Amino acid sequence: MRAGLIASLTGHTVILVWGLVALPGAESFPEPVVDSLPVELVSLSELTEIQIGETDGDIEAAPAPKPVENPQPEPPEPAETVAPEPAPVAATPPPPTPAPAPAPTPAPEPITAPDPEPEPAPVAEPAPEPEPAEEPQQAPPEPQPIVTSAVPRSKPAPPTRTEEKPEEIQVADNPDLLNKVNQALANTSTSQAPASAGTRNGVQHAGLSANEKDVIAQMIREKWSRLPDQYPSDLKVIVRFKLSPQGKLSGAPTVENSHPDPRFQALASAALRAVYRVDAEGGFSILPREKYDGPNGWNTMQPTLYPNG
Amino acid sequence: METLVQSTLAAPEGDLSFFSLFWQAHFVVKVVMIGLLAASVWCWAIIVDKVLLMGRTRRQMTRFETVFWSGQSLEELYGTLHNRVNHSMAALFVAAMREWKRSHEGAKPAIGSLQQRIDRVMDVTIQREAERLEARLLILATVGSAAPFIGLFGTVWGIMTAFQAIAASESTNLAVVAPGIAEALFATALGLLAAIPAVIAYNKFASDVGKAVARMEGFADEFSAILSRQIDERG
Repeated sequence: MRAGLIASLTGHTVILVWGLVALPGAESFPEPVVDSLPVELVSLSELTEIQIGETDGDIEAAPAPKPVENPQPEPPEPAETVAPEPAPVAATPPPPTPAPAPAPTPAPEPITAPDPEPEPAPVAEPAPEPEPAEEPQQAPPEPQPIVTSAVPRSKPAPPTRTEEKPEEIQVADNPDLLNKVNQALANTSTSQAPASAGTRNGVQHAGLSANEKDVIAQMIREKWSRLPDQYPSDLKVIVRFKLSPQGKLSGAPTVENSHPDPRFQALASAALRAVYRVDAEGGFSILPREKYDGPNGWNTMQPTLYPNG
Repeated sequence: METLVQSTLAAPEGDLSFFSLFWQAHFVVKVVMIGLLAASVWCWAIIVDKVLLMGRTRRQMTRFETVFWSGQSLEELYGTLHNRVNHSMAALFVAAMREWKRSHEGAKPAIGSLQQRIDRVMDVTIQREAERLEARLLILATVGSAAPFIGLFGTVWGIMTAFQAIAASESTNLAVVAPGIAEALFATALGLLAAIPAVIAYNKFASDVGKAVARMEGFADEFSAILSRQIDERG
């Protein structure tokens, strides 16, 4: 019996020691290698927000593409010629009702701005269009010849898309001009906030993004009671209404267009009722408050409704 | 990114060797494990002992049979064997011859019921030999049947405490659950480790003992027949 006990103890000890030393521990399961994909979140407003430029700043600051090849032999006009006429450099659309202010006598007197704003914002809207004959709505696509003359004419489009850093923007050095602009803004905006010569970040109120406008239009369409029918494709109802900053309807909505179709009148009145119903359910209060102001803000909305679909 | 994933994967990985599994276990589970280990040691001691005993017994019986059937005189054989400690067939032979000798020692030989006395003496010797061979086999049977349950008890206890710990830590992550269950299952593994050899060895030794006893009984019958013939020839 002693031999057996000794043999058993020896065997167990050997096995335990072997298990401690040599027996491999549990290995972790192999993990499948997952390729990581870089994902960028791009909001629509990044694409729709457009920075505003200055009205009469340095033209050289504009990052115009320099033609390396085929340099235009035409000598660029000196920038001083631009100064008397503050042409809209930015691609932002001008206000809908630009007061044809008188010519802004831009005497280059080095008078500092009366209110020392921390952010020297540019003039938001090139309201003081000196030539009233010129239609302001077509500002972005049309390269102003005076402006583009500062850069080589090889590519006419880029100067309209000048994206200037806010640091480079200088206050218009004419206080009279600022005052005029303030007045023009105050006329057009229903906001109680004092209209500034610029906006906070040098970014113009871009207004609602496209999908936000779509959401509003969709909300109205859902409340729009209409008979399911085959309507002509060009039949649409454009309603226009004003909103308070709290997202409530202010004033009565109106229909902006007309159509010879006999069903148009019914559709139009139904669309107006739909606007009232959306307002009664508080649908407009979802709109972001910071986008209320400005000519593109949602203080006034004008969604286009199509009865089909 | 990749380093982050790897670090979170590698964090809960602990040492899962035998020793750490034992060391991290609950006290009750530790006791169960130690008991099972002792049972395994004892079982293997018995197994080794029985293997040696059975082999020795088989060899002794074979050797004795060759000597017995070699035509050697029974008196001579008894003379060489009766002073030793004998086992199995030799013990049978010595017991029967001793009874034969004693029956012829007196002035008047007691031959009348000598045959019955020899048979009884050999039966007793076979029983004693079978007892010797079967000793401690019951321990193997007990360990073989009880060790899995003991291990299961340790496992249940370990899982119970593991779940209590999980409830206390308020995390259902598998990495939190796994080590406790692994060390609990280690108790069942030890129980099976002790039980499986015990069951196999018990079955083998039980049949070995049966065979050895049958062989001794056969020899006892043959030897009884020889002695019976001698008695009748002398009577």
